[in-house]
Amino acid sequence: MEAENSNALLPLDEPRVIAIRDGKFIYRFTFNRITDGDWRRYFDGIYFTSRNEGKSQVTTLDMETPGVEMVEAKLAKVEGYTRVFSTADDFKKVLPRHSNPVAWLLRMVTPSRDESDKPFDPEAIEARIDALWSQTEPGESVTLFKGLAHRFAVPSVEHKRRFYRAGAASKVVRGSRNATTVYAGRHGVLIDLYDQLILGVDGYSVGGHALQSPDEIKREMDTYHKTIAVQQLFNGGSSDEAEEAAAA
Amino acid sequence: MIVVAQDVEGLRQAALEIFVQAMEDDALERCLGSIAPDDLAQIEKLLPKKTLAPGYYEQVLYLLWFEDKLNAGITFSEISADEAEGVAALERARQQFNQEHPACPRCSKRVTFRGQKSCMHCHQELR
Repeated sequence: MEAENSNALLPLDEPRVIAIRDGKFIYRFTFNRITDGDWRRYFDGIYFTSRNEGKSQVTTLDMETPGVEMVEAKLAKVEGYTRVFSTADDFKKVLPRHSNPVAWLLRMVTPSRDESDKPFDPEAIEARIDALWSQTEPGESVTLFKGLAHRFAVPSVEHKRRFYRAGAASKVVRGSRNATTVYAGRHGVLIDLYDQLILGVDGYSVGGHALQSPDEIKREMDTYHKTIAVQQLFNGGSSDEAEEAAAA
Repeated sequence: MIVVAQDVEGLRQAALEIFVQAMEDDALERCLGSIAPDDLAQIEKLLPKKTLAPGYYEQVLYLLWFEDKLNAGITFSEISADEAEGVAALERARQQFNQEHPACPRCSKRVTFRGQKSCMHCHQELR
């Protein structure tokens, strides 16, 4: 069951709270604002490799480790354990079976299925995403911000080249045959493309007012939202695990 | 550790494999259509074996996109040495592919193996 927040603006500068239930108890995790640097460290930590085994291709993708590390680094408070956790040492004691789902909920951003109700603009391309920002009560009801719109200038062939080239970049370990391909992270390119192409957004606020100018958007927009929106601009499609890894 | 974009010989080999695989795709589709979809053992036997690490094929796909734009007359502000060498590697692979799998003079279908005396599609005699 979902509750839409169609009229509210997603408050980028308000603390995020993620609550989960474990058995009879509810645990609430309050976060400091996740900055651009925090998200870049998360993407840098993603391990994405592929190798051939006979005729099969085996892919290894680790997003959990950097996700848990980011949770530990950005927590401000945890409630629900026998006492309130509030220090860096405390946060290292958070159970992995809690930090892992919380890390996933922090990254719950997907292409939107909602259609825009505005007329088509031939001078801009719009990418729409749905996102969870905070979940103050666990369980059945999830509050999603739906149809968050990012309007981009039409990309040039140079922009597309950067996007594809970054997606193909890799290194190989242990020789060129039967070796492991280690994929390069392309989040730096995605963030740069977002900042170069963004014209406007709908659905976001900072300091109680809607984000307006491209400069304000570049400065305040959540970096994870940037990567998902710009991938949708170039792919026009899904944002599954491989997409997230490809952003790394 | 090898940077895939700089391994020109590896890229040439990967491109040649992709060209051969594309040629054999129709036949592969027909074979796949004739076996049970859950017969993984049979499917695995039919799939072509890749001799290089996966990153090579992805880099070749990017180079094919890039080459396509160059052939369409699109100019880029700058072309890196890796891209230039990579596009040259594609051309060498294409030349080898054309030598090893020439087109039938009548129906233009590719010769699939060396020493083939007649076209498998239209039965045109091949020299």
